[in-house]
Amino acid sequence: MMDPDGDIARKLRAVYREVESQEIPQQFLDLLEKLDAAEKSQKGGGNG
Amino acid sequence: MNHLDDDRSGFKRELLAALPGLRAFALSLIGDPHNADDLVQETIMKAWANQQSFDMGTNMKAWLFTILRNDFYSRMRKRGREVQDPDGTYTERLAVHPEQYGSLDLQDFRNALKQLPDDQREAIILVGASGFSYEEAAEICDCAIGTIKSRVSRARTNLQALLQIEHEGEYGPDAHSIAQVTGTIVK
Repeated sequence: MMDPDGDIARKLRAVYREVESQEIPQQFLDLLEKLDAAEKSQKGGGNG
Repeated sequence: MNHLDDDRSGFKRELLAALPGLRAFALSLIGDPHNADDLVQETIMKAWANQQSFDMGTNMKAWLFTILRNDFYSRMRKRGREVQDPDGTYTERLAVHPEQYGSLDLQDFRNALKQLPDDQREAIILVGASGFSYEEAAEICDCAIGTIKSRVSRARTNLQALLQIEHEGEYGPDAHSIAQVTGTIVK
């Protein structure tokens, strides 16, 4: 007999993993680069 | 590279690594991928602005989830209504472009998840899908561990009932008696 908890746990992870395995949207990568660059320039640019 | 740069690049690296899970959690709260990504965007900005208050080496994932969750609920309070797919546009779009939103064979399960009360869906996702312990989930949701456990337990009960109704007969004779309880979600 199928274990309902096991089945649910499996499907839950499958649904979640579908989104997790998508590529990170470029907007987030761009945002992080922008934030990083802004901070670097505020602090005087470091070593170059 | 000086010490400060090391910290910042480590922070950025960990933030990046946490993004897939963060997106999945946002989507489970909001339902609409576009708004979910907006929420993630705000979370990234808030996290970056509050870098100094984060202790590198502690649980960044839990910290980020807490920021995102708090932001989501404060948005909801401002609007005074449910944010989760209020116009049914997500469900509608899903019918037309299912491949954008995920595989069809999990559709029954996704529908059942959406029918759960928010606190139960959130709890079972944090514990069952995002990989947090009960203790971590309780911190993120700012409640007692017992509360999380009870929400997860009720979520499981409700999901079982919802899925058995949809697959009537597949689970044997008991499926019919459960189907008689149609619409009764354990709150």
